[in-house]
Amino acid sequence: MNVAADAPTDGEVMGLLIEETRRFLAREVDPAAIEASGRIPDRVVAAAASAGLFALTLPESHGGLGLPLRSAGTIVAELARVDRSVATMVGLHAGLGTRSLVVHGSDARRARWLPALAEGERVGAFGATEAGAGSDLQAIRTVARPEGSGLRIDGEKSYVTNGGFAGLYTLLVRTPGLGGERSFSMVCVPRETPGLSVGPEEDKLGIRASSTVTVRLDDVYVPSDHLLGAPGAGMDLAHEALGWGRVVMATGCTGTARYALDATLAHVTARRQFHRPIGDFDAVRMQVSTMAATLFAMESLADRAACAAEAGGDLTGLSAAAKVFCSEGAFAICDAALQLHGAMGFLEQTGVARALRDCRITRIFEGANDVLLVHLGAGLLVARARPEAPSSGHPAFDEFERRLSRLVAENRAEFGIRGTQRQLLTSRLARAEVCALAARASLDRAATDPESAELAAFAVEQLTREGHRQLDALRFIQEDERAAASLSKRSYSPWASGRSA
Amino acid sequence: MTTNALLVDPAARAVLSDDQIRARAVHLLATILERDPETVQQAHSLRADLGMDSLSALEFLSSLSHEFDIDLEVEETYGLTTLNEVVALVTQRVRGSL
Repeated sequence: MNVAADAPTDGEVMGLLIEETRRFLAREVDPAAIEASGRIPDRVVAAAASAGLFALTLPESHGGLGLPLRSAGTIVAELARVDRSVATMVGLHAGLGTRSLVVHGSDARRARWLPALAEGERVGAFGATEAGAGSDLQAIRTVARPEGSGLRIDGEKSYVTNGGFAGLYTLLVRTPGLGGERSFSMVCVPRETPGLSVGPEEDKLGIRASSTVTVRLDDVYVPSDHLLGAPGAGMDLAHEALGWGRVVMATGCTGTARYALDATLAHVTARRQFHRPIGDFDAVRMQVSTMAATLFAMESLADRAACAAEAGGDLTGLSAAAKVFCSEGAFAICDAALQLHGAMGFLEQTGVARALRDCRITRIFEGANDVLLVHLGAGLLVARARPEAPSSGHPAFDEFERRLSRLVAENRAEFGIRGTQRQLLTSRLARAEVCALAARASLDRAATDPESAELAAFAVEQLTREGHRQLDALRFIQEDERAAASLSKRSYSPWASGRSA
Repeated sequence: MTTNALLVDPAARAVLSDDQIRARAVHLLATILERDPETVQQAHSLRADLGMDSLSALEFLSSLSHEFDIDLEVEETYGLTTLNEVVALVTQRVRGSL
């Protein structure tokens, strides 16, 4: 008997899931009402669970849908088109909230927790950040010490997304008793564990209905099999999970941007001024075309990162680039949407104001963009060589890529290892690299989709120009470093001496 | 953190003994890792024993480069895994640059 003949294909599963997701959004999700209430209602969480939205990336063997990251990203983007708080809940669960358990959990713990996570009975949360450890994860103070056959945990995690109602917390903690004084490990703590307590919901600029809380751990005891992966491997696991999570976030940004672009297209074709639709003016056409091209490049780069995540290997650079590009792109698109709506855009009823608020955080959480860029640039300088890319068939872009490779090599030779600590150098190189990656992904996508050739060509042209601008600015690094050092010294002094300006 | 005397006076580097170079390296590392220098051992692996990731390792190497006013090329740092190896490289470069 050929069972497989009756089983739905991956494409059919996705088609059904997208339909189910849209039904869920239409029936259950009123973004204005959800935002006003400040929390995602229980019935919406329950309906999301019924629609299978907590099962996306979890393995089929444990009740999940086993979707590749790319498909899960498509669903998160659908959600983000309508409600970024709901998309954040689902995306965090599929990414940081469950990824380490799926990959590194013991068989017994996976069997115990994954089915409940897939059903949405338990929602996943992740905690690395602390009051004194934001971008500097090495400064984490929450500590888990071996005791008997388990671990005793004390500390506090800040800004825990989904934390208010999560059923399972994956935490990055210090484990000085496991593999050295500076050892970090990843550990799962179920919500019902005595000593775990959750603070009040934070009041936020955007994604106001998304749960964000502080999680305290006072004398919490968990069995040693709650540890994920090898003892002491926590930092590696965290970076791996963050790589995965950043791809999910990048896809969410494409959804928010898609909403803002659609709203703008509807507006500029309907709104008339000076006896014409405002969309007929060149200045408006240029803005709308730039929005569309940016979104095209965002989707292309997010998709490339999702495919790379599926293929395995080191995702650090590509996921950081996708996260930076998509979060900045979404914010720029939402800002342009608001501007093109005029005063109406500033009013709540159009929805673009909420989209702008909601996507602002994506430039900060799961790795602040500024820090990711500095790291990305340092990575370029220490890599053995920037891989020589094949010709793209787009001469101006190829010339830009050659210039970028040449300047990376020159700066590497000139500054050696010290160059990695020059943040203006590394972040400018990184911004140029992000342009190159986004342009390359756009060109590759256009090669398989001739309909998009014109949009892709416009995107590549814009990205090439921006990339050159970043490389041009390398010439001014020493001047800029000196000026910034002098001016900041002057500006900081009244504050540093306790006297405000 | 930086010993400026080394930067302005190459002669100051000339009289540094191997032990002094080692002690300065350990002091720098301890500052970056916020730990007691007494607990840092020469044989320590940067990663497994000292918990350094690629970023903190870059900060350490770059700080050494600055501290001793030596140029460390990127290629020279590939494959360094222990504090001993780092100190040996720095010592060689300090001697070589005089």
